Amino acid sequence: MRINQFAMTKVSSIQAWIDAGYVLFSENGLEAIQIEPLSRAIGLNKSGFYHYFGDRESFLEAIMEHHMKHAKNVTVEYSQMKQLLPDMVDILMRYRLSVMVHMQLVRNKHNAYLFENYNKINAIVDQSILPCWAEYTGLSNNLPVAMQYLQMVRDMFYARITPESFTAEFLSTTLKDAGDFVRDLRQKEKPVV
Amino acid sequence: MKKENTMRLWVEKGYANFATHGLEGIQVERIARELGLNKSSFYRYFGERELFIEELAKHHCAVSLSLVNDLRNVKDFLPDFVNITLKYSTGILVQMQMARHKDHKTLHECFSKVNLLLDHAILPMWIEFVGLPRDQKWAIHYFEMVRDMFYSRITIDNLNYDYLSELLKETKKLIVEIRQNDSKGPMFINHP
Repeated sequence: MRINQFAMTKVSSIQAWIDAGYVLFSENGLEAIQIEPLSRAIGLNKSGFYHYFGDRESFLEAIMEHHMKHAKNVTVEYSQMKQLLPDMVDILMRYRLSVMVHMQLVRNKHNAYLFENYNKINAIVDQSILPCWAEYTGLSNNLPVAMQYLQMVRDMFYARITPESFTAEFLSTTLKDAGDFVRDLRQKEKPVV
Repeated sequence: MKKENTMRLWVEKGYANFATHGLEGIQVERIARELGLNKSSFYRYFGERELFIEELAKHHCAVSLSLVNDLRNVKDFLPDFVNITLKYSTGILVQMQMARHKDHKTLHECFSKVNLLLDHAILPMWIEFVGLPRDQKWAIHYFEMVRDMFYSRITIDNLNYDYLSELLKETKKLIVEIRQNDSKGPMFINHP
């Protein structure tokens, strides 16, 4: 019994470190991963950190694993979207924390490990958005172009998003503009009969 | 060494470090070590880190003006635009880093100012390159999208001729493909 309790405590305090690290990372990126403020934030002793993670690098790996877990969850939701609008906005709003972490990966891309994670996760997530996105933009018959456009909008989005601008309205406008752009581009080409 | 020369050393090193690491690269201790200068020299010339950052912002504006001036010589967008831009790759990386520090007043103001300068210089020739009509509001929309995507993607390692020209060609190809898609896409069904 005592052993089980101990095991529970260990697992939950590891999780507490990771959860707190995830939140701080979403706010201030790599700089935020300082053991001292983290231990103060969660009220756990620094020695626990070194015991569980060893060093900052391993801790960062644990945070990225955590991020990947969220990414895998979101792909399930994306692949079940019926319509891009408003479904994608709802999902993004619910995954706000992960979206902000992902934004930090772009901002901290001078760290090769973080940039690698950004690309790795994008590769999975983009695929899950693609069918609905292709339909929304009317590019279903040319999926490579739909994908290229999706990735462009994605990187633009991550360049622009801030904690202040992260609202359902901003997300809707971004997606609406992305769709209107394609539709307008075609209509301009076609003489109205 | 003359005062101006020493100041320039600090600013140029700080600028280069900012390009690779952003604000985190601007540690007095680190720059002093890399320059082989005493930290006291830094404090004598700049007083504090924030004033140094202001000097870096001023330097960035000067670099950007010089880039804009050189861009007047672009004849063929490819390769001229890419070659000129790459001559200023440190400045481009600094602009990319500044975009990260939206919460820092000096940096954000400088970023916006330079963005405006560069947009103004690049937009007309880029629109022509991509083949979008000049009066179309979407041309500006697309330009800004490509610009922000560009800052999301570039790193010190991929900022080279092949990467940049490929990226520009891709943005042009996307427009062509979207338009071609028109003849067989779902939109066509609605307009027989």
